[in-house]
Amino acid sequence: MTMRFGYRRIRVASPVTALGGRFVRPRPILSVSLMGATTTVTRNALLDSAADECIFPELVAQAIGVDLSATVAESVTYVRFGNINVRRGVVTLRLSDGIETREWQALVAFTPVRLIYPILGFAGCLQYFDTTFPGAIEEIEMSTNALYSGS
Amino acid sequence: MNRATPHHSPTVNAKLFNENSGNYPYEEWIKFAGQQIAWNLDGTRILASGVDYPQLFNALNALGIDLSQVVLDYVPTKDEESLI
Repeated sequence: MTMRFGYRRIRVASPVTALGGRFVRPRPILSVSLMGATTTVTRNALLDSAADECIFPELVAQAIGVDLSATVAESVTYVRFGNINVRRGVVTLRLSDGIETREWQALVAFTPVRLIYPILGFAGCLQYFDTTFPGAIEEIEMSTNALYSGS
Repeated sequence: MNRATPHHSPTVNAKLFNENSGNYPYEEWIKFAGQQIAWNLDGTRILASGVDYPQLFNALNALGIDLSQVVLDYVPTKDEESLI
């Protein structure tokens, strides 16, 4: 079955000219839960088809009990953030639209760099879903594909 | 394949969250510009805020609210309203 989510409508102070003067910016932001060894943190994250992987704040890894101490820090250059250090750890991700709930394991990058929005990119998320973004109704539709091995 | 979760945590309905948080009064929302915030699970109330994650986590701890019972978010400043 397909999970369906409405875009998050972020209120803004000034009218958005490109959207005919609306005072919102519709964005594909989803509340995604990261489940680690000790607890679960749910964070609103940007679903980004232009992002190569999933990236979250390092403090979230600490909070949920993902031990990054044994991992090697990697210097990666992202178009949006420039050159930053990341460490990767395996977490269980969970998304739900209240009807369907999906949980799967993913290798997620964690960074000490401040993120306005954490990112749900291709590796670890979009690779497991066939996703459409019907613009007229500002929704996201996600269906698991053959690569998905979660529950 | 089913994977056992190490602990129980409530499932957040992301569809409902977006619907509810979108109705949050702007004049209240903008008070948290530039801050990390914690919503309740259905996106109807902001429970705590902080300039950074440590301050936010401390605020939640002081309120006796477990991290698994909130949705973390950030309120963009005016300069951060466009993501391009």
